[in-house]
Amino acid sequence: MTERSLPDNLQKHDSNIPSDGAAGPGAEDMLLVDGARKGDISAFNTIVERYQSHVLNLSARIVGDRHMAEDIAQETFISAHRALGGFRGGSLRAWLLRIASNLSYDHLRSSKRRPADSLDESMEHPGFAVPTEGPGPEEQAERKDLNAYIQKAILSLPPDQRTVLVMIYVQGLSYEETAESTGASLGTVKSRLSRARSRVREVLLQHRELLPDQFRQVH
Amino acid sequence: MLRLLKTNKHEKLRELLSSYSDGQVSKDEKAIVEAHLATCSACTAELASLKMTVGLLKGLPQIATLRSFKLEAAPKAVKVSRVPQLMLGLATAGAAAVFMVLVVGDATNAIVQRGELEEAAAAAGAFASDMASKSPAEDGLQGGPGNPGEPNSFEAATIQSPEMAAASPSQLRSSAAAPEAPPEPSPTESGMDIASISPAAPEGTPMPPSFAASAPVDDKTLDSTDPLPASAAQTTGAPDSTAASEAMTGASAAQPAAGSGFAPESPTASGAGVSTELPLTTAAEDTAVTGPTEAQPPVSTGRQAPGDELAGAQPALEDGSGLGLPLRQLQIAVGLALIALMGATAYMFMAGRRRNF
Repeated sequence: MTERSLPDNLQKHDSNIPSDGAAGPGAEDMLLVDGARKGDISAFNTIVERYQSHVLNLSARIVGDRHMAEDIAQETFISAHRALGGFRGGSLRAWLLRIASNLSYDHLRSSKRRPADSLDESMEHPGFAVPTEGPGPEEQAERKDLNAYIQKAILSLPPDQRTVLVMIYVQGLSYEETAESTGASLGTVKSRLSRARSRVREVLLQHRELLPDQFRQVH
Repeated sequence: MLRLLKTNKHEKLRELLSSYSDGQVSKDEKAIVEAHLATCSACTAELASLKMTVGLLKGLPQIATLRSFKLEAAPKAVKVSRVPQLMLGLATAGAAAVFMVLVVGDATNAIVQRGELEEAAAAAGAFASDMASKSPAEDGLQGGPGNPGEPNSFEAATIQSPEMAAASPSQLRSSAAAPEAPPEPSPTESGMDIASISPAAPEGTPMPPSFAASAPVDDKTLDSTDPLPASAAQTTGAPDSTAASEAMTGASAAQPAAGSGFAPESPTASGAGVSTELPLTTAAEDTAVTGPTEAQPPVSTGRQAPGDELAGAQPALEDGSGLGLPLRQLQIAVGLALIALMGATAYMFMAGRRRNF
């Protein structure tokens, strides 16, 4: 398995993630957690395979630095293995993302670097992003600029709003799962999300030329 | 007003738009928002732009995972020592206990400092030796129309005859410690001052508890001069809260009473026998008596000019006796240390929680 083929595998794993509330919130996850608690490292690595994309993406969107995000992802799984005893059920994904977001905050505090640039560079590399189908080179270039600008808008948010926004709109977590992951109430999640979305919209509107025609027509 | 209400309503609805666009509102909220959207074009446009913003966010590409984060082996468990937390907790608890003792002791006057006891003992000793060596005639010359037969109560000497207070034994140690004290107002003036701040004054009596406990005061004298019995003073501390609070800033409860008692206009100088007579002794004698030689903090107060009594009270309080530090400063120092320790404990607790997720 080459590294280039990893995204496809991840897509397959992501599609297998049990949806919370369907066949029990991660009944399969709990089996893996139990196995990992008993010392089965392969069970734990199955968890890693399943959620590493989520962890990496959340960290990368929060800190805006791919390399830092990779370090955070590795730390997340090491910390998770040590803290498996403290996992009391619920959404394993929310629990892992909570660890990841906490570690991301720690890295943000300790880092003085401007985070956006590194992520932009990493996004330019053809192998870094999951390839999208359809658009031609021009459109792809435009979309890349827009994505970079959206990322910049995300990084303009306070960390707590940033986390909620990324979890819900980029990672696809539910409001409830986000509340569980962040340790905030549902009302707090809604409030943070509302402010974050308004703020991102304001930032995006400062460069209307990057926005799709449809967006510009609204304003 | 109507416009303000409308604006507030509009703002609230704008806050709901985000949740509404995600389908995260209740039925009632949904009805309210939709009714508002039907009449507000601005909110309708905002809703559309919010939805497009979400569309752009959801269109962000997934960042590819170029390496695996699998673990080759179980990571070594990191044992976090509990000793620092335990030590910090104990230090915090200790600081809290000390702080409580200082605060409660201050509030109830339960703290009796070393200087008070020494002073009272010295006063008693000086008084006894003076009585043994003095002749009645000598007393009469110095003290004027006082009653030489009953000088064994400082309060009595002060209250019953202010001039007698000038010759009372307590002045012996005062004069011995401060032979160069500047002359005080005349005994008559002092007597008037004392009378004005005597226990009959509305301020009450700030009799130092330690003195009340150890000085050879007879019951008759106490009854006639001090409205608070010695036993009560001993158990409840100084009765005058004003003088007591002043005293807590210094090393000895007796010292501020003496210092303030020297100020005729000071309302806190409510005439305790000992406190008011100490300055008087320095006014009347200077060289007449050689008594015990220990330096008495009140003497330094007595040396000051009448206008400096209040300013001079603090140095007297800080004079080396007692705990060595003014109580108020000690309280502040311990309080600050307690706050710092509590902050460190809270930080360690939160860090521990985050480690455990």
